[in-house]
Amino acid sequence: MKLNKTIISKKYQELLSFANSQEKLDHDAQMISYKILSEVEKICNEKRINKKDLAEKIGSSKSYITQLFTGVKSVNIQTMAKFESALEASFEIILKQNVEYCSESLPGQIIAQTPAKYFIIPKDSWYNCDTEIASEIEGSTETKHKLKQVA
Amino acid sequence: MEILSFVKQSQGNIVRFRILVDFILRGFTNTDMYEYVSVKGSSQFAKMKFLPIKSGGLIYCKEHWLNDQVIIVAAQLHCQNGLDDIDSETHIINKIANYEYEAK
Repeated sequence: MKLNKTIISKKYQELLSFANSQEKLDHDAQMISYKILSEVEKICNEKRINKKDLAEKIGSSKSYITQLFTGVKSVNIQTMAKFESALEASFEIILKQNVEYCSESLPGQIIAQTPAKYFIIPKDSWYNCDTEIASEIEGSTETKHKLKQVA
Repeated sequence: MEILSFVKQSQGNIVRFRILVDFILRGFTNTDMYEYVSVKGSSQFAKMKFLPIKSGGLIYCKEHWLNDQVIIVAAQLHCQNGLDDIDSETHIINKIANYEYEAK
């Protein structure tokens, strides 16, 4: 995550900043694994294949699949090859230059289709990955939170 | 327990939170990470899943469309007791469904 272009309250700087380069590397590696699994899950949904079936198709256990999808383990190249064979599909690997405003922004074709997303925890702060927007959240009651939208 | 306190409870939760937020903002799909909860045909609600998956915390989120933007609000923390409690989930969703948000 490239968060230095986003204004974040101090509480969240601690949560969303990496303590060292190794921590960032681990995070980035995990996100690559999730990117792959996200594509696998989409195909599985299209073909109505559940995790148990997927495990059988690639000759592994359901617990291994669970470990992959929960992030306990990361996908390796051999598993990717098994996914390709089992799902009769192919991964397309594209290495793209990052867009300036966000180092890990979504690929171009997805940006066009996906709206900007913001993540908020009421009463605290919010931040987004796409633009320089952040704000304290107003509101104190449980049933009514106010979001201050910054133009 | 407040969401922030829960996240700060352990380094594992902090790492998971970072991953979940990044994951959600990138629009990835994985029901073991962020699962939509279908209530009365609405796809407005979802839960962020912390580890361990069956007994870790859940943060229920409400997604709001604001013009061409999606605001994902972390609305309610739920600490699982190891049971698959459909009733409590329905209760939480009904509760956060009544939350009102006002954009300024």
